[in-house]
Amino acid sequence: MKIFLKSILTSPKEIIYLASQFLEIEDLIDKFILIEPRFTHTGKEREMIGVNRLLEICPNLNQKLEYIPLPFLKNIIKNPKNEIETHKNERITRGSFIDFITISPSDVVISIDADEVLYKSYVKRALKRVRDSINPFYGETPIINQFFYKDNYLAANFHFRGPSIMRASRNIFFPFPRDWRYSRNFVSDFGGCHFSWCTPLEDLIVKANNSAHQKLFLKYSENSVEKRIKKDITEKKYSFRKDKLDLISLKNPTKIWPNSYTKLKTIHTNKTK
Amino acid sequence: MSRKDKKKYIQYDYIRAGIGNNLLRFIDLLTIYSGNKNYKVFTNHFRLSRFCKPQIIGSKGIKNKKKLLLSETLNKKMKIDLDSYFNLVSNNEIDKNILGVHFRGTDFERWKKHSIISPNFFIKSIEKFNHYKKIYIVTDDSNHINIKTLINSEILKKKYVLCFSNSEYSDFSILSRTHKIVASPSTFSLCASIFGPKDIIYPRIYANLEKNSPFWKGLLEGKSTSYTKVSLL
Repeated sequence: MKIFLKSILTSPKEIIYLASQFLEIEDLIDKFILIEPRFTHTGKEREMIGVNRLLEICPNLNQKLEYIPLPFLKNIIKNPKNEIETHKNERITRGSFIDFITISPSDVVISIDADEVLYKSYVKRALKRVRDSINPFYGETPIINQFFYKDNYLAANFHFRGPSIMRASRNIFFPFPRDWRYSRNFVSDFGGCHFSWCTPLEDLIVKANNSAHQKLFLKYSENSVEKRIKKDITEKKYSFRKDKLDLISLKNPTKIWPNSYTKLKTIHTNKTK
Repeated sequence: MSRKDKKKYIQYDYIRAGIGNNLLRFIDLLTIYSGNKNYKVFTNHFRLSRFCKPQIIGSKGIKNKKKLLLSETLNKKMKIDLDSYFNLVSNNEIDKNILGVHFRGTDFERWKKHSIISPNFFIKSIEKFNHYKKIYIVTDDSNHINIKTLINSEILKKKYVLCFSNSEYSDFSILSRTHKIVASPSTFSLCASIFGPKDIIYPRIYANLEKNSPFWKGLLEGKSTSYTKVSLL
């Protein structure tokens, strides 16, 4: 039984989260599968970033890295008409890695997106539950702390679920790519942090255009998306959903951040000083 | 439409060999049929299709019966546009500061002992291309004594060195994104060079031992090759 960490690389700004996740649990995993798609969720070609920067930050990553540049696959929808189709592209990005690597049903996959970082303590507990479970398809999804726009802007009244830890058997037998998320077995553990939209404004606008949630932003012009995000940040709100979320500006977010993220953030802050 | 007008489909027959060997044979097969509009070549083998564009992936067709030669691929006068068949590495993905080193051990140790290349060749090559700041070593045998000797050599102590020995697709992707490759005589590195930097160095000492093979003979005679620049040192 091997333990794989699996994530996706699509933006240089997310390298800090990917590095944090690897450093946080590197001694718990056998391999880190990093998928870098050649296409966005909206089916456009995207510029490749590569793994060199990530390798510089994580000294032992080369020993465990399974780098998968994901080419334009046959089933990619190039001009998606609706959110269902963009989500299909997103699922292809998340799930097609099984055609590029040998993975067996009893293997365990820790499946995250690039802006999600799970705590080491949680992963340890989850792996024990996977090992102890008699269910050969065991999988679980924790609650994770949700940050928006800034890595200290916590949506305290909203708990996100997405990243999951599961036996590969849960997904590898399907003849089409799976999300490798939302296992439905919700556990009450606080598993980590989700740093949504915690990038500079200009990157947010690019991301809004390529996102699987593109339609959410289409009703606003680029200019008004910018205005709205600026307003959100000032008012400490996240307004791109039906029920607006209040954001709390944490004075000491390191209490919530994964340790590895705190360390990298300190190094980064000291360097920029 | 009459039966005569119908397109014929050829299916590449994946052989029991490494990915490099199969990629080169497949390129040869595509080249053979590239001028003939009545034929279309496909592959459905998962190890090969990872590298291919969707239009040549499929299970259609009868098995190829033409003899395919590795050396033919690089020395044929006719060339195909690889970019329209394969997922090549674009120039902006290649890091100009990285020299790729490919050392092949494992099965070579058993059946082709003279293909186990001495660390001296790699050290000499790294000294010659001393301007590279980073060295990425890709190998299928990270515990081999030659790899240990190479990593502990004086010249590598002054460089940023990373050793990769992971799955085939990942190692291929890493090697094909370096700027130049210094390699053991292996089709894996040759293909990584064709897909990526288009610049590879092989040991002259090995070419001399294999001078009866058309590929190595051609290189010793300084013949140019299609798809990638191959040099001897």
